[in-house]
Amino acid sequence: MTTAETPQPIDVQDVMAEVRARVRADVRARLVRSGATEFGDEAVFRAAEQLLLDALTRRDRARLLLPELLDDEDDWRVDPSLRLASHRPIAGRLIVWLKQTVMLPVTRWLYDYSRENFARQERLNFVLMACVQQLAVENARLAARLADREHDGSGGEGPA
Amino acid sequence: MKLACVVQRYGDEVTGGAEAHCRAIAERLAETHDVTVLTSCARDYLTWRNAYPAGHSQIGPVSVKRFTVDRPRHLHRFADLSHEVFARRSSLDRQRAWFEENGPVVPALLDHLRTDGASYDLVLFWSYRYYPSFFGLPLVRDRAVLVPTAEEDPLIWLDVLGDFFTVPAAYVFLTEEERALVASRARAPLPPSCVIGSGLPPAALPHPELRGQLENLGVTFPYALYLGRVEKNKGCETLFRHYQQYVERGRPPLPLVLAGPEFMEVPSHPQIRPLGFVPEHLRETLLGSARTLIMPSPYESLSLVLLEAWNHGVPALVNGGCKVLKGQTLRANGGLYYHHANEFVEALTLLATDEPLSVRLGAQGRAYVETWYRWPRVMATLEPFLRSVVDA
Repeated sequence: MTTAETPQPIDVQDVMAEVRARVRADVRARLVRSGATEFGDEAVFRAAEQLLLDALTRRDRARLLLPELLDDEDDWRVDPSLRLASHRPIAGRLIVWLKQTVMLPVTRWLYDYSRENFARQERLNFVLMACVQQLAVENARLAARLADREHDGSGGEGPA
Repeated sequence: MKLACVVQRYGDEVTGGAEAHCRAIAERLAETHDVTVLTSCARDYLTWRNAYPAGHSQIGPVSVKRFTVDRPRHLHRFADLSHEVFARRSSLDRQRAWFEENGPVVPALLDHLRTDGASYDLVLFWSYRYYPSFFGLPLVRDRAVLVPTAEEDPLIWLDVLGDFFTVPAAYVFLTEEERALVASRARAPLPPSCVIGSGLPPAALPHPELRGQLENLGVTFPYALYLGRVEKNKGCETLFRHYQQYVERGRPPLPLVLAGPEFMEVPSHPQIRPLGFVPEHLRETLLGSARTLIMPSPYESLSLVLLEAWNHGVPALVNGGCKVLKGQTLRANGGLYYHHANEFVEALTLLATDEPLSVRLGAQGRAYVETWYRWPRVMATLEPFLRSVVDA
């Protein structure tokens, strides 16, 4: 009499590693075919991919350095919201009311369309800022390592 | 214990994850405790128009006290304020205004908490995002238990929540990811909390005789299933784009069946089969017969549909950008996940072609539900926890 063997549990992480490996191979081959020949070197592709993936996890406004260095945030951020206001003390209320109740309903389709695109643009801006930040961080690390090497250069081993 | 459950809507016709969770918990607590649900007269979550009469009623074992909604939600004003508050840095006053605009505005419910709140041992609040919880919870903070149903959406980043999340006396979370999210947003360590998820009864056996009815609706086997409201916020737009890539790349045929009310345009495509609302008996067979359930939602605090799929032994393909969905899938070892179209195509191809793998992932999902998501286990975690909060 034989006992049925209980199959080993499947670890989703293992399966996903296979899925990602297939995706990576496919994307790399497509990019190389399209002319991104530097990705012919798999190590370069893997390093670049990892760097950009790390950047994507830091795309929140609160984690970004570049916005802190730019001029007044109101001057550069995409503003998808619409705030209706008037500087006129008395007529202003009427004007805002007319804009809200007459103008805005008529033009809302255009407003909604452009707002969505502005929101997309803002998301992309932050992704790109995160990528730049990641490259800057990597560059700073490499520069520091290089400086250390040069500092130790007199006593260090040369190439074989 | 004398308990109050505060929730934005409540009733037989009310659908919605948080509302259903509140009702399921309230009914089970009412078996051994004195439970009153404090809610609005609204049925519709978009307008909050009064639909139920104000005052006392009894729904099953639960006593329900309803309060009139002062004004329906102004959808355009709400949308504009949402964009203002979420897109930019905004003042705390504007952020508080968002919670008022979100509604349902039930000042009489707040008055009730002010005058009678101390008569309850505990007041449980569902969903921090709505007016009754946001403005009501601070009124009874010493006995308030928040079930936040928090998701990683733009709302969670509002500054005003940093202090709000320190106010409750205790928390009940749906997943570990939700607890981590709220803890990361609170300005101080969280008070005592537990993670309960939700409960499911064992799945009904599939009804093979109903497969004919499904075929009459245009369903061909095998198929991938999306179950729930078809809308942009649920990630359906992205799902359609990813799925069309799957087809265009010549992957094995696996039609996409959509079961749920449509709140957006569904692309006209021979492989996409929208069924609209599906009656309960067909829904179960549809779910139980699927090759895989696809969950594209970017924001979830707990996916009941995902648990239901595993309850039927069906593996899932989930949006990996949603930490809750990915976390649930990894813990259960019950499916695959994707972060972009390329991963979606490869993962769906694997589930479509490797049936033994799909079956085993589904079985692992079912075992996970069996272990963690049956009602006796959920209540065995919740009740002692609530008792400990009262005794503290």
